Amino acid sequence: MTQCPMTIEDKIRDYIFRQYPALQVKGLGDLDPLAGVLDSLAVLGVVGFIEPEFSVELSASDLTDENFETIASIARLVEKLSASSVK
Amino acid sequence: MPNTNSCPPSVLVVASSFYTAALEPPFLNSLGPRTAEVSLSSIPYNQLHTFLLDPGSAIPEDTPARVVLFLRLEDLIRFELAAGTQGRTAEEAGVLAFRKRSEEFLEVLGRVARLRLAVFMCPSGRGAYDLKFLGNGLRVAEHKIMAELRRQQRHLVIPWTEFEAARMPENCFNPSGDRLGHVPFSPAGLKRVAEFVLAQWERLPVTVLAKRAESTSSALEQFLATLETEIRTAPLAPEDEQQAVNVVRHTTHFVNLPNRKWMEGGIQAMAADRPGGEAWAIRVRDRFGDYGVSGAVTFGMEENVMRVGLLFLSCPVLGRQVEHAVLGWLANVAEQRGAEWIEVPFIAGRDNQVMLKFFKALSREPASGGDQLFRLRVEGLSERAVRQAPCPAIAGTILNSLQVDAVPLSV
Repeated sequence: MTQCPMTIEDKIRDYIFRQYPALQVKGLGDLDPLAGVLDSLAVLGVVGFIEPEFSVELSASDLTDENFETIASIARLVEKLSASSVK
Repeated sequence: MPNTNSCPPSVLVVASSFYTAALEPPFLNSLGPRTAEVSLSSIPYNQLHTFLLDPGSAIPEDTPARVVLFLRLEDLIRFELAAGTQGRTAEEAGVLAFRKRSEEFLEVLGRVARLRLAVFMCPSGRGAYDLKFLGNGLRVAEHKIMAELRRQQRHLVIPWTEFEAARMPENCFNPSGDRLGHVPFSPAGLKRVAEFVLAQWERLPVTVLAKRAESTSSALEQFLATLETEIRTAPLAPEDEQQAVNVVRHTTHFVNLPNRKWMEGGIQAMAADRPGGEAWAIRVRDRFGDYGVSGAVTFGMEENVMRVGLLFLSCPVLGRQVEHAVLGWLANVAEQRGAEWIEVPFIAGRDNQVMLKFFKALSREPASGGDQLFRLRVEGLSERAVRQAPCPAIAGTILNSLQVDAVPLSV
């Protein structure tokens, strides 16, 4: 049986669950708001995960509420940064 | 016997050379039910010197306090590292700045008289920046600092190796968090550090501050008096704009408009937005070095009001009475231009409570919008700004010697 590779969203969710195990019970969808889940310090933790994981580099201007609104928006940011780094 | 005082009977003070607020949640969590007996107080890194020399600013008299200082030496040149140390000239400047700042820190430590510290030595070179250019300078400075602490025989030095030996988590560091938020540890690292320190509660030295005679000058006053701080202001030259923009991008504590994207030309553009708008650069130096462009202010005059656009001062120059002298100067300019009021817009950010507190103390009547706009009466403002400084005589001296260049300094 082949296993589906983890998507960017899955990897981010997996990281968040490892940091906040209580969220696993409730579940966290791609579009569920992260406000109230991630404060500014937790965002730095997520950045510390995604930079080496996806070989991207964020700048201070990427740390916006929009980019860290949902798992999907973080994934979009990763995709955007990945695309610009291979150009 | 139950404690009848409303204050918890002891204080845990957490200070650090990096973003201290990051330590608050893990320490509060780790304190757990002990928060009924122990209150937590954290010292922002730009107030570290002030606190070390004047601990009464954070520790109530006759209250047992445990003070834990997280020290990472590369933070002494945080701004230089963030600005980049590529190339020989930048490296040499970085080495010189590190030498001067570590000398200064050693001098501050040498003047610490009322505190017993637990100093947690965090490793350098594990964060966002490559420190190879410092050579063995880091090790030498670390050695000198530990030697000074041990010489005083009242502090506890906790070397990083002790923490490493006590089940340090694998993902302890966070170079990204260090670069973007000045938080060098991962959430797991912060949690483990807090648990590790609190597990050694009985080992942490206790400080009890006795009342100091009013006439006695504090170690802070004595230190500030020797700094020979000088401020120069000049219209912001195009050549200085890039440096000012770099500084404001990394300024979070004393800035009225945080969280903005500043592009080159942005400060001049903000000044140009107001009728007769002006942008001024603020340069600071003291006997430990020249901090270069350390702040800027933009303003325009409308009838009897000086309307400030942007006002900021970088963290390394705070706590030296610079902020008081700069406002004193601005008040003098407003007075010369016939203004009766200065208005300063203020947007609350993650860290700029330092500025909020500063203006709240000076502004008797905030305008409509509450904290969004401070209205300061110009009459007597210069004196009030100086009087509000922890050491007014020194702030007054800095203001009196402040140099105003009518032409940009770099011309």
